[in-house]
Amino acid sequence: MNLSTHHAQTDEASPPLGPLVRLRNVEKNYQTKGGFTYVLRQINLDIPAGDFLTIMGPSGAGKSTLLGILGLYDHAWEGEYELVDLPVHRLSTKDRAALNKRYVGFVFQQFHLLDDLTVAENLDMPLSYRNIPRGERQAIVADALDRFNIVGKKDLFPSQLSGGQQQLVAVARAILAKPKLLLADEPTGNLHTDQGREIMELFKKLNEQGTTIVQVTHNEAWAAYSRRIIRLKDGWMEK
Amino acid sequence: MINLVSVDYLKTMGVALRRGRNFDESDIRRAESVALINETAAKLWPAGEDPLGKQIQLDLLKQPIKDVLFASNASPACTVIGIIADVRNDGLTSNPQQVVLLPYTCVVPPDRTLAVRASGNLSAIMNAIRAQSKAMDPQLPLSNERTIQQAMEDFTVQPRFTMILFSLFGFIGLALAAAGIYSVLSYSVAQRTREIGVRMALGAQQWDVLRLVLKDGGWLAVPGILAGGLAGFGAARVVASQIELFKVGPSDLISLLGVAFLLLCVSAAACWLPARRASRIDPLHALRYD
Repeated sequence: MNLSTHHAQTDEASPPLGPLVRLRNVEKNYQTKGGFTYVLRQINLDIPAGDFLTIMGPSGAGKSTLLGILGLYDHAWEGEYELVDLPVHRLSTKDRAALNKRYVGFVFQQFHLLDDLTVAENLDMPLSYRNIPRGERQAIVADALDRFNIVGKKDLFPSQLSGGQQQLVAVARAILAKPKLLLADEPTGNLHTDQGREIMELFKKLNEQGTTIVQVTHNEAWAAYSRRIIRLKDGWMEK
Repeated sequence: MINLVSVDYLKTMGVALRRGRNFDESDIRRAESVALINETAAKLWPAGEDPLGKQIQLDLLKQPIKDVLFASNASPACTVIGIIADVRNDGLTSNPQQVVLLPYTCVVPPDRTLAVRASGNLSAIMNAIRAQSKAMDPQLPLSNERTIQQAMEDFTVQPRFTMILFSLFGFIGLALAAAGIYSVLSYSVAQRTREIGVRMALGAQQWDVLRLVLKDGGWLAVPGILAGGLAGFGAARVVASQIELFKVGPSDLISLLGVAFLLLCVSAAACWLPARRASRIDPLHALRYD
């Protein structure tokens, strides 16, 4: 892995005055026949720029739900959420989608590369939704292939890659658009230990170079790569 | 074709006089051997030769026919005094035939056709005509009373039925095409839920997803429309005689483009529902339940 030439992942916009992410009394519930079922309760959380945070907790604790809210994919919640000093809770769905596109990258446990696209095309896909000219996109993809040492695999399809290589491509895809906030939902969940370590080393380097990372994991060893850990249980954040 | 007519025939039937003159009352009263011919008949003369004033020989006036009375001065040689416009006189699909018009007093066949141009209440007009006929001769029955529209419908009823049948088949084909496009796209969207979820999670907006699915629909519809257009262009020649009645040629560009546009609209409508459904996919939900 050669990230020595990789520049800071944050864009040129001025840094936020407050924390990059600020959650106040965020709650999420589902209406059921028996009343409301709470998934998240009174979440108060500040994530400063440059942080590397791990969210841990048992299954059903609300980890992925919180990640979905942080990533602006989930709109049905209550409370206050500020991202880069912008009040997400007051924004329309459309504006939230635009904010997501500008500031958020996401790494999935199942990689979620598109099977009928090559590695290079998978990398190009998120850029194609960002009004970047084709020539510039090709340069960005070529640079990423070089940085992640996957130039030789650019014309391969995901099914021709190992799990670790697929996740490597997925991480590259997530950071290509230079997000301020990189979210990872159990990124090593489907990987062997060696492959998982490789991904965590990559995250660590990306974080050292300025990317703010929030990951969900069950693994204490992978959590140890982060700067701090929060734990959720039954929707509550443990003190 | 020889027609025996009165002075007002041209005015009543709406046929234009191109050159020469019409019959006058004197021609009719004296059963003059004069004739009007149509433009097709005028082409029988060599180019540059004017038929006006020329004589034509009509066998009808030469040989006695059973039950047909002839004027005492009837002569088979008639002088052409005018040329009238061509009209469809041999069905709606055939080219105009050669026509000679003679004063109706030259020959008296057993029956006549009375043509009346009028506007207003049809029943009232028919009653007036019957009363007038009865006043002239109480023994003279009027039969086969029809408006020109009814006469036209007699010619068009079969082709119209054929066209309705074709339209029905066309409509069924259109509905099947729409259902096919809708089914294929719905299936495709269901199959691509994860892909669409990934795309939306990585920045695709609703419009991007709409465009993606509509593009897929376009790949189904546009080649189909082009192939169908070419096939229709060829097949139209087979039914050319049927559609000419409606003043539509087999190569009518407006009709072909209109049908293509209609198919495009129906295809777009069939694409729209699956595309809209795809654009409303919740990315995290789609990926979580992959």
